[in-house]
Amino acid sequence: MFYDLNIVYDGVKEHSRREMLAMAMQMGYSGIASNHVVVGLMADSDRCRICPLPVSAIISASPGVAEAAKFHREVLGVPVGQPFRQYSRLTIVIEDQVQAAALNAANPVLRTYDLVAVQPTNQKMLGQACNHLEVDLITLNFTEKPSFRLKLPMIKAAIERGIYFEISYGAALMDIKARRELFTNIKILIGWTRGRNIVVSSRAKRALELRGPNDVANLASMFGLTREHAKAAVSKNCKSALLHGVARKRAHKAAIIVDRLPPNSDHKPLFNVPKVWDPLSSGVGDCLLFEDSKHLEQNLLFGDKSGTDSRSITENQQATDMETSNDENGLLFAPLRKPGITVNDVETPKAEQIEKKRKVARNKPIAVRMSPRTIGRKRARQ
Amino acid sequence: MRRATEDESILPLIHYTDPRLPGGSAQRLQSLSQWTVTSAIKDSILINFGQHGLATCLHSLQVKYVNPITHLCVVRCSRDEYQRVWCAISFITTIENVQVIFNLLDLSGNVRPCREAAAKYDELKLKLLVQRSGIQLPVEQVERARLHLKKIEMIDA
Repeated sequence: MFYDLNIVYDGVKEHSRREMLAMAMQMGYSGIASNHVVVGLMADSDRCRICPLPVSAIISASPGVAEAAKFHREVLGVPVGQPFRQYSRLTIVIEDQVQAAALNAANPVLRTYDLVAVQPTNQKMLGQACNHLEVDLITLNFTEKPSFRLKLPMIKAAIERGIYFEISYGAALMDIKARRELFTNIKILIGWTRGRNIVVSSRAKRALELRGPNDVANLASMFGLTREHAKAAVSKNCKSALLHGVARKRAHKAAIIVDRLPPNSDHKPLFNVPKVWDPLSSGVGDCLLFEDSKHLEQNLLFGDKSGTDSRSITENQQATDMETSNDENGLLFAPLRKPGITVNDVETPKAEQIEKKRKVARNKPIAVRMSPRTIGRKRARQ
Repeated sequence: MRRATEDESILPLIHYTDPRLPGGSAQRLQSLSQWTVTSAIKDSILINFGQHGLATCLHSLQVKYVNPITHLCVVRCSRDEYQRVWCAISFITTIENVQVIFNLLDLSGNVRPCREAAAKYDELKLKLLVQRSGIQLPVEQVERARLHLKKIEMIDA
């Protein structure tokens, strides 16, 4: 399974975005993350607005993409039946303490994204990012001369906290100067990390700036990584970063996830761990491409004018979406790290009442909970 | 990806695609030949690794096979330099002003597995190309691609 965790989203036209996704799909990637960049202070308007593209849109961008993707996946040894996933990602460029303060676990804006990355621009912020900030990735702009020095203690701290460093190659493909800077600066990072906790991504603005997973791994080994580390940088490490994101986004205290059960599931016994539980699923962004692609393609070719056909596509699409994302009828508690105990809500009249109450409660505005620190401060004032 | 065996030559098998599929660029890409691919790779090595890099690669670098219809290429180079050559190939963005992406399909340490893989993938690629809806592939082009396919048997170290 290969991932590309940085596809530019801002200022990219819809058509070229489709092309990029189609290209990534063709090259055999299992997932991509669309990146929204915020410079400076984060506002409430920066909530995740990245909507995953449906399969039909991707196929319309380049016909035959499904077969090509199948071919490349077979070449790469990635299971063909796996859905192609689209994640959302936020990158915050921080300069000072005030901007950094927005990056805490309680911030609701961060929770709307699958991945959160931080791009520090100076030494102090880099130290802060490595030691304290609640993020999944630290991305450093290596294509320019860096205004900070990487130091061993902070990099060690970041690795211990399970944060990954990101290297982007997209700009280097097009610009020779950027390429030189990239190779120079990466040497230092790789020297300190010894090849661990590194993620290589594209930061592609166009489909042309993407490369196949094997080629990226080779590029990474030219940076000085060993072969295993190079391959991990496009596959395993990306997956871990995504899981870190899942723990931050959906889990309570990074330990327990509360998920809704599908509506028409039968009464399952209590204390049962679901067999098919995929933490990496981004829910709506999954494209189950190889099942309905042919049908879709035919519709695109012949049946566009008749309204019924296109409607049936969207309905199918929605149906598959519903299957992947879960519905509103039951609650399922699945522990993230060690699957041990699950509790199912049994659908009894009582349970329904509780559910109604919960729905009402859900519609109410959520009270802002105080973190232990603020409580402590209040007490001190009193 | 296949690991290298005892043989001296490594033949990365490169698949070559054009992102802007239909229209004029596809027409112009028909002129893709061993010569154009070789010169593009050499230029890229020169830019990225300099004269020394090029000189050390040059004795073994050879583009063995190019199919102008399916855009599949076979490149041979020595085992000491294959990562550099591969890297240089990844950095190629244009061939004769047509934007391209190189994508590695297979890497083998011997001629025989390479020949087998090339034949298999080229066959598959041709099938994909014929199947691909939207682009009508003329019959003579398919024939031409098949003629090229037969040349894979002739590849030798």
